[in-house]
Amino acid sequence: MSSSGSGAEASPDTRFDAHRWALGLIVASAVAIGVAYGSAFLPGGTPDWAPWLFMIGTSVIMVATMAVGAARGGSIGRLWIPFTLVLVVVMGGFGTVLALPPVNPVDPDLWLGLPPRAAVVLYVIGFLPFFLVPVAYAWTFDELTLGEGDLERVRDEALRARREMPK
Amino acid sequence: MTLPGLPSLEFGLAAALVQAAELPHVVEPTIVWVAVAYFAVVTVIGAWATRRTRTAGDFFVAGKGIGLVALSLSVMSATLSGFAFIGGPGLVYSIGLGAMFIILPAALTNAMGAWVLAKRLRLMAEVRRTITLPDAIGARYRSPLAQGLAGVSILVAVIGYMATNILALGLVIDAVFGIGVGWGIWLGMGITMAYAVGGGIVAGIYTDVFQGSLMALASVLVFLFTLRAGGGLSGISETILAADPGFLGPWGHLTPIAALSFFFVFGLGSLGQPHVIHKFFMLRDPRRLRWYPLVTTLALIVAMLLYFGVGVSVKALTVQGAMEPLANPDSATPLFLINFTPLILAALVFSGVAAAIMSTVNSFMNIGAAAMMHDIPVSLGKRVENELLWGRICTVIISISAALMAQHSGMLVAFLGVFGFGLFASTLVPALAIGLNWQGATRAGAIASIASGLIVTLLFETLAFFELYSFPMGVTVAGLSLVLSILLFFGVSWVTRDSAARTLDPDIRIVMEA
Repeated sequence: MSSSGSGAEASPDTRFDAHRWALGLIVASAVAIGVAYGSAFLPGGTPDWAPWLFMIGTSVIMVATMAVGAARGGSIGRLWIPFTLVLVVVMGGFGTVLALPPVNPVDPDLWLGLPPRAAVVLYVIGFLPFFLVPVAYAWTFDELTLGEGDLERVRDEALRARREMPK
Repeated sequence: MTLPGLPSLEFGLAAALVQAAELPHVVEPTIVWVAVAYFAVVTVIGAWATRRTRTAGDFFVAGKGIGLVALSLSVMSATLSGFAFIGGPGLVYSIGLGAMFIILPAALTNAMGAWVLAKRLRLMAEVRRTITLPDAIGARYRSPLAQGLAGVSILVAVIGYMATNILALGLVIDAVFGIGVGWGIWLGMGITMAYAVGGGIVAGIYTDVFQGSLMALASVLVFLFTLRAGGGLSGISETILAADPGFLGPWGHLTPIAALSFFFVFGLGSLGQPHVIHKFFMLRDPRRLRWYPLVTTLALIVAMLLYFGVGVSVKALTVQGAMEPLANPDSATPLFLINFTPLILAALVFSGVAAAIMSTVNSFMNIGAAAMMHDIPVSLGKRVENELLWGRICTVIISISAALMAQHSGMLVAFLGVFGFGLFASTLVPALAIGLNWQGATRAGAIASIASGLIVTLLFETLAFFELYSFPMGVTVAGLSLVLSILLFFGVSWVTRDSAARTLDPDIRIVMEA
């Protein structure tokens, strides 16, 4: 599969192409989710490994999709840090939830008012990424998304390209 | 698993979003007057927007002239619909924490949408006259067929979504004014249609700003009351755990696969919701996108406090005996408001619910009209002369059709309502979201994925609805259809990879490389 092919700078073949890797991860995680869904059709119901596979697939596909969108010229620059952190938070959160034992309903431990596994779901998986991705987007916007002058450059180059297109 | 008041949730994911049961009547002078004031404000905004709408560009993309706050609040309002205030808390009350997986990806989805779609769509609007998402698909793949298929998918889903939302609006108006569901449908539809026809998306955006602010304010206030009524979050948890420990288990009363399926479909599927992403075309200054994920995510989180708070608090109150167990989970919010909050706050929330539904309906009217008047004719090689006039005519046709359907065919409404979210996700996510970021995508890949999303979703949701065939527990049509569509998109693009460069115009390539 050809990757973005963005050409601002020449890319040596050996350079890590985050865009291509992210595309590959989207395909791999879609296959993982498909297999997890497919396992539910097996006689005897969903096997124990299926939620783990689904959890990995759904965490990876969302982060990989963000990386595909964020990549410029095949690179995601410093964004590898928040993307890795989000993956750790979401996948680690789901993994913790799957691994932790249920709470004792008679004398429950509560974390910020919720049983531990519910707290991980709401505070870690649901809320913590708010401090990672929207902030990372704003932080790296000029450098990695749309810098000063990019809009005019795109407009001019696109106009020139359209003029040269065969009618 | 079949839940009280809901169709088979496991097998029809989007069925959970359908509000079809009557709400308790809350006819009180304060509530009525606040609702009247709310409708008056919306009408004034609509009249002002109508004077500003002079071209098809104004009507469909607000003349590419809106600011960041308007974009963010408008996206938040269009995302939520009445489900966040009525159906959602009812779902939490029924199935516990599992219902939270619908809104759990919210901290990720806006940044994901910004990286994947916002910049590309806004830049595309800069270099081409794109006013709809199928326009963008047609331009990306140089394919009228792909544009037409996307237009048909949007139209099918829009009609279903609109009919369910209009029915929900009729139920809310009936609950407030006591005028009957039929009159409620036509009153709500009449007001929404009046500003949508006159002011197009300009009216939609600025009523959304008002409506979104109302929703966020109401949500925060109600959340504080839910904590007070339930004895704080710890008190609520202890009460519920003693009676129903599974409710606060990580998946609630769902299976892990079913809950994770919610997370997947409502997370990745958010990239295919046209009433939300269509708004990226409208931002005046694309560099203001910098703050879009932060502002929108914050607004969404605030507005969704009510969803969680009412659901768990009502559960705890019923366990304590302070409330009767609910026969209809959708009455969780109305009954909580009437019994545990000041009347003025209840009034504000009921207006907020109407606001949420109307803002969603308005967005659907606009994109449905665009698909009917613009995308489908363009795919057939025709272009209408006066797009503004025809946009208005199509808005009226779609609105009246949806209202008639809502009034006369409850079964058809429920049937169409289950398509919405999943159909948008499986038809638009691969071709649009991935396709705008991958030059290796081909026209054949895009057409295959859109067609597969359309066929798989319609076929299996129909079979499930009529109880002819259902997937096993945990497998949702929306999720499976989205996965198949993604895999087909990559697979067919790989097989036809030699054609990738031929289907990409140089100006679009520049947008994709920006």
